[in-house]
Amino acid sequence: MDAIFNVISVPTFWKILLFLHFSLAVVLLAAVTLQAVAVLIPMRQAAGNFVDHFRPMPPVSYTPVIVILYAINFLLGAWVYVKYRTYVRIPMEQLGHWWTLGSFEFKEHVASIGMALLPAYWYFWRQPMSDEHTGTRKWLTLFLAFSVWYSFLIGHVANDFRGVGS
Amino acid sequence: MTQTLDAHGGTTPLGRSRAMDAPTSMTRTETSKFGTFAITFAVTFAVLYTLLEQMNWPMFTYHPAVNKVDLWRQAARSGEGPPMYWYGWLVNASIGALFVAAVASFTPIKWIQRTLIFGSLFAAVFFVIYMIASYIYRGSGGGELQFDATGTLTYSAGPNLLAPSAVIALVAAAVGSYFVPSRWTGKLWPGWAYVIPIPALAVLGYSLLPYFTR
Repeated sequence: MDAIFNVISVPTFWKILLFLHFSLAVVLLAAVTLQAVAVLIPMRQAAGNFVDHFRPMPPVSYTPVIVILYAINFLLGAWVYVKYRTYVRIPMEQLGHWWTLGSFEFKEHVASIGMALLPAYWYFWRQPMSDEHTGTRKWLTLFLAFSVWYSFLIGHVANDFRGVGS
Repeated sequence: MTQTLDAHGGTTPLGRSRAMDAPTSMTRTETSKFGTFAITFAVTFAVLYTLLEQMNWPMFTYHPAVNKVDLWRQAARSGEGPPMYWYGWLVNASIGALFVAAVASFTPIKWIQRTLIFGSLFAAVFFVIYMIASYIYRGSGGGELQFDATGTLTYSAGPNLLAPSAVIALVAAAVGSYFVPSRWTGKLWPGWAYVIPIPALAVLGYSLLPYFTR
């Protein structure tokens, strides 16, 4: 760590880490949203040759991306959380931003339980997929989509309070 | 010649069929074991994480301001900044869930399915009975689980409602889970992975109410 801090300042290091956390979250958000939409509105056979060229990706192809990004982003978030606890949460308490604080506490729980769902999520999206588990796949995907969206929005609010560009 | 061909023709499909069946059945056994592990891990983690957070039982406490780790739960010390328990809950819940899921993957699937039915029935009946008992005995000297100002679950002294509610729930869950057909337990089984985290999040969210009602 000292080698890094010889090149960049401590605040810059944390800002880069936070920005990386945000950037990965955007990609994860896109992947999980596309998969959630795909399981909610299954693909229909498009008519016409021209439209056929714009076939959506099959929902299963998002699974490895979601699992890897979720795990990496969770670990990154857990690292950045150290700075949040000392640098962001204390002023939040002093200024009485209780709603933001409570929502962020809930984010911890949502993200943790989402993380524990990943093995089951991966298992049910494994090829060959069985038709009898369509419902389980759908609900696991929606649960993860909720987890990612909630974490993203609340993380963004906390960042606006004290973070990159605030 | 004809006999030789017939004999050859007769054995080849049988041999091929066996050769093709063997790996498939082995793969199925492996995946179902991993499936049992994955579902049990999701369920157990949600339950353990909720309990550990509510009881505030971390494996360790991290003090970020001074970069110091203490075993178990340590309160904030003067000049050392705020303590962090979240990592400690995560590690505790992960170890517990890993252990239970590993054991479950070597246990007959029907036992696991019935145990989950039993646990869910117990939790649901306990919650309902306890809520009714708390409502009836409200104002007669406490005996309730309550959240204090910091959001920690505490039990106030009074008529002991926990033990009788638990006994009733235990009997109801034992009877209920005995009579649930195996067909149902099998059908419900994969769904527990996403069903159990919902009440877990409801409990965790409810304990954060003090933040939103200040």
